[in-house]
Amino acid sequence: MKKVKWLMISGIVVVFFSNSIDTFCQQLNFNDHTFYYPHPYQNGLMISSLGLSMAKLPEDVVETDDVFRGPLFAYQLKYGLPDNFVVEGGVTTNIVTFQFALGPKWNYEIDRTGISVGADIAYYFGQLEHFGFDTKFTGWALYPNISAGYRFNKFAITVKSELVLNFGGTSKNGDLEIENDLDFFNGWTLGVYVEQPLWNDQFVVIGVRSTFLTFYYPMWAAFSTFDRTFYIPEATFTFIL
Amino acid sequence: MKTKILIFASLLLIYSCNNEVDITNPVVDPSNFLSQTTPLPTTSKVIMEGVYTVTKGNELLGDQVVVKWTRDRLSIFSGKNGGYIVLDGGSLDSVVFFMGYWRYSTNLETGVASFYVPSGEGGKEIISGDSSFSTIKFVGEYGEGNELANNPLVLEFKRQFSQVVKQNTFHILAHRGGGRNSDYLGVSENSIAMLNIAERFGTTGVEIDARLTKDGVPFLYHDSDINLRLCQKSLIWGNIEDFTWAQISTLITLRNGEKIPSLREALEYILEETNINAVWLDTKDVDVVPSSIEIQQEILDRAITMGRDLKIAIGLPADDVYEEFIAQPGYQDIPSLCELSLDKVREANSLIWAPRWTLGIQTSDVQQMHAEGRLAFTWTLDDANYIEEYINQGEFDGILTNFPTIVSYYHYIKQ
Repeated sequence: MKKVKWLMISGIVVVFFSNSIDTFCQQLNFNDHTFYYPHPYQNGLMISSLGLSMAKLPEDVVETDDVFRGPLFAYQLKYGLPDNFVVEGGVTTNIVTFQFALGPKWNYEIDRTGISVGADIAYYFGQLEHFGFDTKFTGWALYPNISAGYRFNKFAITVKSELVLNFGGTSKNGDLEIENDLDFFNGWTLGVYVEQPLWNDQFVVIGVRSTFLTFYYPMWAAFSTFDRTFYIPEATFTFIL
Repeated sequence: MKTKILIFASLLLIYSCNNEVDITNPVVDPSNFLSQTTPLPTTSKVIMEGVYTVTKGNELLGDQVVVKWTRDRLSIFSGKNGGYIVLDGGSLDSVVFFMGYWRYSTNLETGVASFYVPSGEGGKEIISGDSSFSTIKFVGEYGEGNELANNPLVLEFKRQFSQVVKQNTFHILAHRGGGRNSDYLGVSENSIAMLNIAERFGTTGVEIDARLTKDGVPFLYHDSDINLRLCQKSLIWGNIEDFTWAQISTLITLRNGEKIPSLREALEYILEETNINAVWLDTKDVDVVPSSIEIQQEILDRAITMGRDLKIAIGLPADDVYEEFIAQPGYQDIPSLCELSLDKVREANSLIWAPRWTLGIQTSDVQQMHAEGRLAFTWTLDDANYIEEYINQGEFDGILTNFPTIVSYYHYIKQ
């Protein structure tokens, strides 16, 4: 029932946004206001975004069938470089966990179709000193990624996929610190993002992302020891600043 | 419009995915096999226990395993993925035969397994109870899923358990009666069926969750509501403590088909049918404290009469439960397990102090508890690396875990 309710909400949101603002959109320069749609950025152009995503965490780990939990706030930046290169960085947090990511991308656009390939290196750390925890957790991850997008008159739609590779880290409980024992290949993700104006030249992004991971870093405090791949759907809403 | 449909279809596709688990438990029916063999006497069982080298089948079990009898089954614990093997066994002539299944605790891989101990490789000595043997060799095979067991598996006796292991009582406590529903053991958490198999995972104690029905009957159940994580679809829904025992016991079926046991049924089963020697009664509702104490005292009295070594401790996980507990007459003589501060442990005169494992090994505090004649357990520790460190560096008297097979392995290989 909860799934149906969420589907209805998602559908209403999509239809609402795709019906808004018609002729105005055709005058907009999408390349200066979109964040996910892959296109060459002007050298020196900087675009930032602020977003919120909610994930449905695996029932076997969190032991509840609640719909969406695990909010993550994300601030991201893109900076245009010569020869179609872009550097992207950002910070993602759920208050007790922070992830910093940085990486280059190469974008190319033909007519209304854009593609991008790149890789982000990320460092995450978490700390919890309440509720019976005296715990710190750190780790490194690499996200090789590829995107493809199409720019319509009124909006742009982008599909992005990435691999998630673990590069070690540590955890500390009390005085005892040990190295994390995570598999190198963690999993992969597939996301669909729609970008369009909400008012004037203010663009927003709504997206859904499927992640298939053994270890989902925002859930580090659960110390899940399941050696299985979990499906974790995420819904995101982002303002292009 | 086509684009909108595409987007909506994408959403549908994504949300239609789920994490349903498909595990193929091997079909092992040892009844025919057992009817042709003779059960082993206790003297035979004891001499088989120890640490063994894996000479074939390392890809399944790693380099060494622990062999331990657990009530009526032979269990083998490995250091790889919490792997374990549970076997029925018996002797025929001068050969010992075993049949059962293996499973990894941390994932869903499982399959059949079988062994024999040849007459000249320790079989004759095991059957006669002769402990002056020079070797014991388990020769066997394993398969995956329901495939035939055709991968070789050979274990050779390496050493007996160390004096440290033999002389100290260490409590291997299994969460929710033996395991969670998310471990897919084929039986439901907090059920009699789970208590029945718990010892096969090396468990020597269990943690069970106590709640109180609307008409005052304590029963085993973890969550506050009736939900599909724990139960099959039922005619009643909502807060489980809003229902009477008659309603709960007749209208609710646990996830794997069992009925919800009352606390009395569970403790009587532990007392009469198992060798479990420690029960951590996790108090899920403050109202259940007085009736839990009443049943605890009755079962402990019966245990004394039976000459049975059994500890049952009332869990004090939060301040409200603690306040209710110390309001009970003679509370300082009631065995309890306190998860709170050391001062509260002392005020309640708790038998056991139980801090969360994420606070570290806390050796100084544990030693203080020992000096006062108390025990110290930590919970709920599942990570194999930390389990190894807590067993080798820490001084806890027990570990509560979802993976007792991993705790068993690291405990029994301790030198």
